Amino acid sequence: MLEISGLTTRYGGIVAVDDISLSMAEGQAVAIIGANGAGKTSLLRTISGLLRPASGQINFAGTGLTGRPAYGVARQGILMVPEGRQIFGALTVEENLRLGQRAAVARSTAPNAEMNKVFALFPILAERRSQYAGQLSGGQQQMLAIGRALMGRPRLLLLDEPSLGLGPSVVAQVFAALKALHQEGLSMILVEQNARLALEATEFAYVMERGRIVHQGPSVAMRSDPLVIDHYLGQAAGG
Amino acid sequence: MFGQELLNGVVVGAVYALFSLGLTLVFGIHRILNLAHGAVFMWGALIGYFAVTGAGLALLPAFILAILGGALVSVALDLLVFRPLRRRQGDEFGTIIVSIGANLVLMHLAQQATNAQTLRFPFGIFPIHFYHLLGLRVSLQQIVIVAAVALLVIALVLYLFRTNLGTDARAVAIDERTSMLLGINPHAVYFGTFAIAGALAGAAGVILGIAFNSVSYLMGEPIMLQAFVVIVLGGLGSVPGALLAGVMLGVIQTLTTVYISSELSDAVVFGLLFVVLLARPRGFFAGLHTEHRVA
Ligand SMILES: Nc1ncnc2c1ncn2[C@@H]1O[C@H](COP(=O)(O)OP(=O)(O)O)[C@@H](O)[C@H]1O
Ligand SMILES: [Mg+2]
Repeated sequence: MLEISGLTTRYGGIVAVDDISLSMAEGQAVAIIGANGAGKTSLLRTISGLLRPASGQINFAGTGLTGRPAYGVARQGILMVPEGRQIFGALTVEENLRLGQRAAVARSTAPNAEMNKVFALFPILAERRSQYAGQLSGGQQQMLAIGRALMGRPRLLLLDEPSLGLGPSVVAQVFAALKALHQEGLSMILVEQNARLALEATEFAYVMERGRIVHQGPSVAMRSDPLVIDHYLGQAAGG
Repeated sequence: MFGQELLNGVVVGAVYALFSLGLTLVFGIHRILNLAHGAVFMWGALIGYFAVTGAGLALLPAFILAILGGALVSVALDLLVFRPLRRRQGDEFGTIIVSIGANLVLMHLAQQATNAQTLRFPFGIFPIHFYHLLGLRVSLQQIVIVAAVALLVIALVLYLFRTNLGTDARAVAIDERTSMLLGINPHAVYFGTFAIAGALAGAAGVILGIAFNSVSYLMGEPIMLQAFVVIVLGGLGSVPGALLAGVMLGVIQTLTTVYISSELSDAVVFGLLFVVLLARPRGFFAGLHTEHRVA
């Protein structure tokens, strides 16, 4: 479904994504783990079209995405839940969700059905629908960011550190929702510093270091891989 | 008579507000301080003038033509001047500089088109009629001006808060990159914002051109100065702020001119701006891009 080959992205002289190739099948959930600064966010931003790659190819369901603007990528069905949530705090919860629909406009859908699905997944959003999104707690904002992406009917969901800055019970809630979505067949790429969580929620995982993929394998195997345990399941696991 | 001057000030201030709304909108949504906005206003007035004198149109179609013309000039500014700069990732300062250049070009073209003359609408273009309301003498022209401004402002608010493109614009005002991630095409939003800002400026141009019966290639300059005061006082990017500050400015200017002196009117206005900013550095209201929504 997603094929990436030889992808390189730079900020000026800094190489953030260095010759990365990866592929995933439809319905898969893939984790990308790695330390802070490894290039995970840059990789997701390149896939979503926010950053232009210096070289390499991105193909999605038979369509070339390389060099497309971010809104074009979103309309192809790749939707990102960005790092730090980036919800529109000055707009209401409902306005945030309706904005999420824009990506699906070209693929004509029933917006109210989508919104009801999001409310079923995160009932708190239904209660708060006419409040300003900026008044939500961190966990609720993360739910809104995920719900907003779901409104665009993703064929592939990109999640950048959805657990960042959230308490354990909220993290559990968010990840339960992600697992449920995946069980319904949604494909996703999950970027996490919290490797234990990421490996539990996915089937396959890549490890990034300094812009490169240095290790890959089924998530189950990774969980018992001494190298991964050493580097990523030690101190980072608590996070 | 105080009430009469107050009324005259409100009418002029309504037009200042109309002009300033476009300026504050473009800044609030796209962070572009368009110093050629006054030239759009001036071209609106010119188009209205030529529609009446050249094409022999009646006032209403000429007014509509000026609105469309203002929108067109404004959109052209974005496509030909600001967008190329965006593509090369120019900064806010760069947009200010190129808009100064665009302003000069538009003024020069107008100077050629008018032979640097001040033009006057034909006598009696607007029916002269007075009504007596609450002891005030109110002209038909004043009523029409206020009604036109009110209609345009209502249309603007409906656009921002009741249409998809308006919601997209408010999202882009907060965060353009995140908006793109949702599938929002920012080019469409830029188009909408510049078209509306230009339409409002064009309308303001004709209205003021008729009210003062004077149209010239220089007429955009003084109103830009007023508009700076308005958008800063009102809070950059704020619709209600621009409305309130625009009307206030019109009233204060009129009253100073009548009761103190016309030479002092600018000094009073800028002095007032200074004092208000000492108390409220961000103006009366928060703009579209801040955490508090305007309604
Ligand atoms: N906007 C930017 N400008 C310059 N360098 C950046 C920018 N964003 C990230 N980087 C650099 O790129 C590298 C990868 O960062 P990032 O993709 O954010 O990693 P991660 O998400 O894995 O923490 C880091 O060295 C970081 O300093
Ligand atoms: Mg990151």
